[in-house]
Amino acid sequence: MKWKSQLMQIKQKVLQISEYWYIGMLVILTVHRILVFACLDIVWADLGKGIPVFQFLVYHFLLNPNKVLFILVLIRHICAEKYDVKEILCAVTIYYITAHAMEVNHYDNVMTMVLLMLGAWGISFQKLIRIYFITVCVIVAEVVLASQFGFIENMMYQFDGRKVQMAFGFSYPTRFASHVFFLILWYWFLRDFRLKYAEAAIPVAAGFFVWFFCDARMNVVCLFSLAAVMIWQTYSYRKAGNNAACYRENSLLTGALALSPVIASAMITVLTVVYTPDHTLLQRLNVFISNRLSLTQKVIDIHGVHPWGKWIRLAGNGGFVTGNVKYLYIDSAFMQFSIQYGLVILVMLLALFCFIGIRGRRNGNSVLLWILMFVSLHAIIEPQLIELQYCPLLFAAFADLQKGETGGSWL
Amino acid sequence: MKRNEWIIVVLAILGMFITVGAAVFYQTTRVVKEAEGPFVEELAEEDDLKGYEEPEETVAYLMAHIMDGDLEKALRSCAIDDLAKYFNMSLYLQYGEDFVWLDMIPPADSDDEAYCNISRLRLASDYGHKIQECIDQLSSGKELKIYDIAVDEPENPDGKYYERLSSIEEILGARDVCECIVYMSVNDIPLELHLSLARYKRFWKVILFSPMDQYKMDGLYIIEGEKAPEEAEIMNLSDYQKETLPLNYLLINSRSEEDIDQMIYNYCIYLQRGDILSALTYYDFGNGGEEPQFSLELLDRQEEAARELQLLYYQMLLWKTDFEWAGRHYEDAPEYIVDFLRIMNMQYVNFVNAGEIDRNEDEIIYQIRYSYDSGIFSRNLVFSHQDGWKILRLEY
Repeated sequence: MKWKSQLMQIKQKVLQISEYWYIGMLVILTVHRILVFACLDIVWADLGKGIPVFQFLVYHFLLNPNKVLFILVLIRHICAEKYDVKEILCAVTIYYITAHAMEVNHYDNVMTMVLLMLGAWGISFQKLIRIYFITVCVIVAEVVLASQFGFIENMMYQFDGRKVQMAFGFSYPTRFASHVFFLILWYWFLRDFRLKYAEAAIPVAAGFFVWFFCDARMNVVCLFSLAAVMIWQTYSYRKAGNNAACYRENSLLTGALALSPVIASAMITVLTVVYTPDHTLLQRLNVFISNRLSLTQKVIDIHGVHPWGKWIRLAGNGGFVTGNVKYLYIDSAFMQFSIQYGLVILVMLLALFCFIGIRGRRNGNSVLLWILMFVSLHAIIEPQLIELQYCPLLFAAFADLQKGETGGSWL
Repeated sequence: MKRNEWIIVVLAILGMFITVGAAVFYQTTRVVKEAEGPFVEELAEEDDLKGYEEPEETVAYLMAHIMDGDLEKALRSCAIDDLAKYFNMSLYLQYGEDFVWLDMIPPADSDDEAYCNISRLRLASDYGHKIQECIDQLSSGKELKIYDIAVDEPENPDGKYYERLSSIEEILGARDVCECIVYMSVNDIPLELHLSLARYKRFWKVILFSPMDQYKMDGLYIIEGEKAPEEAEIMNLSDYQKETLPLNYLLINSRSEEDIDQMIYNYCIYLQRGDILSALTYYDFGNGGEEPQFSLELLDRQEEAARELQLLYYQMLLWKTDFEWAGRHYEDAPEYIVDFLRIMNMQYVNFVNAGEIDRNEDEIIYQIRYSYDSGIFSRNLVFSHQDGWKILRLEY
């Protein structure tokens, strides 16, 4: 049986190497996605031009990483310590649904996120977030500093009836504001029960900063609410004797938090569908959220809603400092799923997010549940829910949610 | 799973059902549907003739039906569908360095269905007139004898000749192009009819009723030929007269709407989507409630409507185009104008309002105002009422 133990050793080694490979891919793809939306004059497609090997690597590892990620996922699942039929069936189904949708609607970013999610199988989510947080923090800080020292442009936007909005080196102010919001969210996740009351000042300060310089209202609302929940959560931990293991959140509340993506999605969909300019309240709400309801309705009127989505060329205000005269954008992530990626992908993603909620609840991870609620709230208005550079929450569906570095059961 | 978790799962399914249900409800009840069967279709069978693999055969088919005076069948030998689908405007501008607005085929560069259908409607009428002219000049009440049909090639073609052909092939999206001459006599006067053909997939289709370098000429290219020798045989085209090529033009079905406001809304949405066939089903092409029957007049009326829509698209989408700059950069940026013309840009149009501006016994005129790229535009839609509202024309 010596060969069997040797084989097991090789398998373990490969699994370990694939984990490093995965983390490496996660880091370079995250850096790439952040820089794509920074005011840098990099023609990514030309990177490595003239050096065939470098060009090959850039193309397959950075610009079109899905094939490499697919191989990585295969290796990770083949070399897994335990084989779980349920998990494998789910992974295969998710992959095929996404692949078919991608063939119809041509959006490959969902596939990248799905492959990264499947590849996270067996890796500690906490570890992933720690590496991810440091990466994003460093790169975003560099972009902001570069914009302040004049190395890259700090775009100033001025729209009718709004104050000047600064983008801090990014293509649009809400992109920077969302980075701030998500970074604080992941900071909270890492701090968890060790969070001190004083640290709740971070989202408050960030909220005022974003309000004053970026006028990104949704991010401001989220940041202030986050501060309140942080204080309440810290208070609850303290009350439970600072013992995370003993702490149990109210079952009704955790259930509602786990359902928050579905509630948020249903809310924005119903509002968009019932919107009519003749209804005063809806009209006011529409104006308040910068015509998001009417614009999304217009997109549906022209392009329709399809089971597998449709490729639509959206045009936002990014790069147009006084506003784009050819503007058509779907801001809500949930509405993007419905219209661009298709209803099947919407249902799949909602199911995955609810599954994350159930897993978080089972593992007693209250902060993860609150994060799920906050990203859902944010996604009602903003589109960053499954953008790698902002929100890797989707990986929690397959990653190991046990606190610490050891592995646990999937469900 | 625990009981609590099952409750979450059930509630999640309910929530997803509400989300998807709301979207599907909107899609089925509020989103404008495309017209059902917007044009007449012909049932094709497996062993039906699909085309000719030799250019001489296509010309023989054309001449056989010209001889017969059968405009409809002769029209089927022209490259209507293919030119509409494969014409590359960017390459044409690079090669021809001249943008002549509506006098050229609209771009099929980005697979815009709207432009393809506009081209199909316009080309059908153009070719129809050319063929009618052939019938009038060559066969109607005259004695037409055809002696030979031959491909016209220079004796010693040089590299430039092939280079030129290759450019034309690229512009037309064809696999091959050639010129043919029909040697004939009309009332014993020897004549030559020059034609140009293109090969799409396996089959040759007529693209011009002139040689390729005369592509801008309006009429037919018929010149006096040499008298045929006494012993020259007259070609027997009776076999071709029995054959029918597949339908390649559109006859738009007609429908009406009871609610004029709803009709205007639907019409505008169709134009934004680039679904001009659905938009054109609202037009009154004079068929009454019947299925449209082929006639040159009907093709002309359809062409006129398609031309109006093309003008609407062009005037709006090109209103900020710098033609002076484009003229200097046809060689290095030929796609500049084509990018402006993309139908995808129609999604940025906002319809401002529509209101009645005039009315008489037979017609009602509505003015539609819309904005695009910070410009405000308007068009008048003229309606008539016969078993529901129909559009008579679009006025500038």
